[in-house]
Amino acid sequence: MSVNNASKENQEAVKEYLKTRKVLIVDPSTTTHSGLYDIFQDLGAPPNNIILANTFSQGESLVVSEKPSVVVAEFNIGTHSGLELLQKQREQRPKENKETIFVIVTSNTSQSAVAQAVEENIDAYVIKPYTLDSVQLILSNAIARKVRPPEYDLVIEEGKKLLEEGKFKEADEKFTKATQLNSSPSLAYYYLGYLKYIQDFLKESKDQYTAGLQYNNIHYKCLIGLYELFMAEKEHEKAYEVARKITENFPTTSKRLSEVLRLAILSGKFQDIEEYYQIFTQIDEKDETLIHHVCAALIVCGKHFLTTKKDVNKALDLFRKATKTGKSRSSFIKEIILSLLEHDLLKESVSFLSQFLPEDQKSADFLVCQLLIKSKNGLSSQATIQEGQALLNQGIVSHDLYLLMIKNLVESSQMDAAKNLATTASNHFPKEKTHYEMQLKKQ
Amino acid sequence: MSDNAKQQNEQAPINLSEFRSIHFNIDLQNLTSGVQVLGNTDVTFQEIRKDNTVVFTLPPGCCNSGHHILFKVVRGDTPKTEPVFQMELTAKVITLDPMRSGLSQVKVEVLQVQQAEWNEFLKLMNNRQDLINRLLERMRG
Repeated sequence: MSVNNASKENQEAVKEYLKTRKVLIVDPSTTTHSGLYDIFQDLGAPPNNIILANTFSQGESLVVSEKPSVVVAEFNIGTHSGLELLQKQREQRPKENKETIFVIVTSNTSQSAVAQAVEENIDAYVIKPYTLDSVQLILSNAIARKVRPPEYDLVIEEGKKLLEEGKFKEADEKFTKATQLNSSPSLAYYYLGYLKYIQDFLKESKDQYTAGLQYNNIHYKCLIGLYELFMAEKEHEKAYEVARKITENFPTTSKRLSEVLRLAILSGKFQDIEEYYQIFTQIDEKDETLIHHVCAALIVCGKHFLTTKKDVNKALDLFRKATKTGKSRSSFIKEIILSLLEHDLLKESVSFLSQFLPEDQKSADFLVCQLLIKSKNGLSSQATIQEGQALLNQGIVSHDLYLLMIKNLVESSQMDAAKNLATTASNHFPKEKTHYEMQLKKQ
Repeated sequence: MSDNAKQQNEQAPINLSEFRSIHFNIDLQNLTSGVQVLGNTDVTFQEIRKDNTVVFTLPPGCCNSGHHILFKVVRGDTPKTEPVFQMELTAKVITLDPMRSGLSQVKVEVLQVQQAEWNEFLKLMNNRQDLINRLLERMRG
């Protein structure tokens, strides 16, 4: 459909809207400037109301000084994200959110970028290379949606305003009215649910979100509302089921994937971890926190298969994935080796020891793991104590090393030395005190 | 959009496994000067215009106004199970503007391209834009 086919009324409304409002275009590309400049002129913006910025800092100051109603920004502007300007725009015009427009125009088509943008509820996301016709149509639709909303949207907006003012009863009336104005009024039910939630009426809140989901079983906001409610109630299994549904149906941000992994572990859904690992591999931009969470989840899952299912191959596969994902980070490999040794998988432990990066082969984690393996492989108690003491003398402070040393001191009947070491160990790791005491009791 | 159509759109499945970043590897050969730019990630598509022109971002010094350029475009993120999208286009440089980043914004007139390949390229970008529009609509509720 070309813009010529868009309704005449919409065109007039867009023109009227742009006549008195400022438009800010923030993009390092002069071509994007000139293309979008022409489009906004065609749509009815006076040329002197269209402001251009090349850099993020220029854009940021112009959002503050010019207070534009429309901001069009590239997703990647230098080291910044164009989305940061959205927050700035909302701060500048807090009362006028329903009249402001924010659009991303970018070459970044990654799932994580789109997920971040859609979670911020932006008005449009245009990908480059674009045709001027398609951008014109998308912009015109976005503006028309804001300036000529259907009655349902209008009533919800009125309700939101009352909600912000703390007029809960009046807001409730508006949202309830809205449920009658649309054949799929999930959004109205979402706001009714949210209204109950902030007043601590959790059961009523749940009922409203559930009612919204009856019209659309993957309504994003109702699912998010329900998820937050279950989290507040510490109903981790139910929260997990909702989070799973969100992850299956919407692009995933790093933050959400981290949350769902944590919940999967908390609710014992170890078998699902691999699915999330697949989702993780498809994310283009992986932050360190997410990598850490994925590795930890894979290791916990591997341990589960070792302990409960006795499925060594599956566990090894998960451990290998964790090692690869964590780029052979020493703390992860140490955790894996400890689990393998616990299950007497000596050969496999040796294989993971070789996964330490060359630069980490003098690290405390490596040296402790090496000694643990040697000890498991028949090194005498006396020799283990000697080598362990050498590591302690190097200044290595490790719970696993203390535990190994205490065990071997006890086995070789050096009780005084064992007790002294247990005291030192407890000072370093107070939470592990009972472990050290248990080793002493094994006398 | 009617209520019914909106409802269908809201609940129509979106296959997220198809939602990979679209990434094109673009090599270029300047047919006038003989300069070649291979495997440079600074070469990107920016805009497709109605007047048979396309705008690229290019590294500096690889062309001048009036030069003829052959672009070889290959989709870099294609899964192993799918045929790799590729396209060749020959174009003439119309304008060249330096950017603050040091790159150049180059507008070219397309002289030759296989129509089927060009259409497939447009379809690829349109489908992605459509998917994003649907996601936005769905999340807006």
